[in-house]
Amino acid sequence: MSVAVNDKSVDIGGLTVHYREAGEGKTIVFLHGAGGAPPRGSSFVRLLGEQHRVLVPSRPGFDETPVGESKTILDVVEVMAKFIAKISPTKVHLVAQSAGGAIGAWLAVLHPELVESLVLSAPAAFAHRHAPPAGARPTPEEIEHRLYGDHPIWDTPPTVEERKRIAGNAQANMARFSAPEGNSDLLARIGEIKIPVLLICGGADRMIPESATRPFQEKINSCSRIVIYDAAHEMPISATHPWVKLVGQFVDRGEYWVVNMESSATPL
Amino acid sequence: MKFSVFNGMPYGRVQQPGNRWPVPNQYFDPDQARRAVANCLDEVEMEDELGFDWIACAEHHYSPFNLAPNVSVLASALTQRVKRAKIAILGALIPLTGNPVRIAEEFAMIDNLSNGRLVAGLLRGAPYEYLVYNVNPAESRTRFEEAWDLIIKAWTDTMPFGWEGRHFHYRNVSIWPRPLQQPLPPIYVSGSSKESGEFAARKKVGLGLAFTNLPLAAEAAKHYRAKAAEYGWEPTPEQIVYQLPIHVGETDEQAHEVVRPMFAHTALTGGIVDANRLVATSGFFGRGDAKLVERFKDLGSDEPRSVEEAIQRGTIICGGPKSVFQQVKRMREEIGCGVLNLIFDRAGAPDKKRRSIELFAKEVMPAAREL
Repeated sequence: MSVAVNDKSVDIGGLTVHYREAGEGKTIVFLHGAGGAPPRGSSFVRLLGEQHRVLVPSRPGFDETPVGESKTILDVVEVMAKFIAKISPTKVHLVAQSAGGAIGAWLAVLHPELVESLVLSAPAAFAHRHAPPAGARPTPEEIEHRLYGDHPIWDTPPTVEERKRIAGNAQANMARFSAPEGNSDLLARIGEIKIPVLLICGGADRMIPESATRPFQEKINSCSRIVIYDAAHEMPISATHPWVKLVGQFVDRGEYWVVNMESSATPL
Repeated sequence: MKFSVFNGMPYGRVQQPGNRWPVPNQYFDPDQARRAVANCLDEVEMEDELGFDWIACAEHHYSPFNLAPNVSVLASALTQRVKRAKIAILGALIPLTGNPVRIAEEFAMIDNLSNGRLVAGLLRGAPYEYLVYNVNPAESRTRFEEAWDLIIKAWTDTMPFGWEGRHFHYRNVSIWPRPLQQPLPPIYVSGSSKESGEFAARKKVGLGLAFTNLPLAAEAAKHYRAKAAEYGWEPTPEQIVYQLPIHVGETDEQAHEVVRPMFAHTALTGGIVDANRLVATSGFFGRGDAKLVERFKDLGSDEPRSVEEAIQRGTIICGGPKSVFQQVKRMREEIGCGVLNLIFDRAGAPDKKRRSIELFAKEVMPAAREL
């Protein structure tokens, strides 16, 4: 089944939020990382869209969405809350990648009425505490390898323009929306999250070590953690198929995702 | 040096026509098995009292050579008979079972049962073992490495986790008990191949060398040390274990006479050689190990044909105490191993085997410890 990924936009209180949409079914809102919307040649949105409605909003200041009045992470969270309320009549399943993790967690804390479940995929919220000591700056090739690993899955690899877009997003927004004091305000409140949370970590993630995600599991009683072996930081691209499978199972089956319902029997 | 005794719980000779593998279990005699179990458990007590550093056991399948298809079962029994020595599992064949978490659980329990005396060998196994549980030998390496990482994580991660791997899948892992030894028990991997040696160096764990000969073992140990240096560390002598058969007699002549028949009835003939050849030539070894593939193509022909040749090639230690000391010294010097894992089963009769063990412990080991 071939699923189209369409570019759309919606007005949120005078701010035009651009987003991509694919598929039908339970609504998944994918909260992108520091690089903005994922490269167009990545396949995970299309694959998730085979069973679900997938929305990929570009947050204020990313891609074509203007920064508007947003000055802090919490301002961005409120824009996203309004986006969800406007675009989905039902609660949504948030899937937050890397720098999107703090946004997803804040939405679950502040707007539980909008969120059915939360997937945190290599969330960066508390990673600065584990930042490696300053050294030689990695080359663009090294950064790409850290992001996507040895065997990224692309429908088509990112173009030069896309690479520039992603780098520009990261540069402009990491400083603009970086949280002071290491998201200590979020850390103090994530224990309030009561919805099912799935924390996915990459076994070969050299950007966000698994230990940096530990507060989520320790403070959220309803949080389960799973490691995708050999996956690099951008797991939707580095380990597309297991990542899509896990997210799909969690969204579809909720707390039952831990129960193996796959048959081990070979048809005769 | 340190000294380990390997206890495979051997069943003894099987009168089967054709020497096929797997050995048909129609030849299984319960009375013979009872004696094998009793002998093994009595001997480990004696070895412990004689001062051996490790009492070792290993997993092998479908074979009367070693009645321990689940090595954790045997190791558990050893914990109750061996009061002082370490319990060395050398080892479990972690790519085979399909359930590495079960191995992590069992090893942790053995560490608890032994009050923290576990030595954990996590191995790929000999090629023929891949015919036992229908595992593709070309996937042996990736299954091994993933199972290894999963076991280490199960021992060290203190919060529940799931695992979505290439070969293994879990939604909840949180083992009880964890190992007593923190952060980890001493770990060894088999390292005859270049890939395995590199792996051991990368993971900073010990290296076990078995079913090989002295020149190959020396080469493998050298490779391991070189790779370890590349990874910024230096293995201790104790992190290199060399395993081989041994028989100690009152004199060289007496010892040689005892083991001479084994060269007429070598274990490596017939079906097991064919089984090893089938697997070794089906992708079990990596590209850098062409020599090993060639060796396994006809393993029987690679075996020494006499006691003297076997001693010279370092595939057996045999002789009176003085000669045995010199042979041990040669292993230490040429391989650099700090532990010898000794197989005393070549003596045949249990009384000769026990005398051999006793002679080694009393006449060789005290001086050899200083090597």
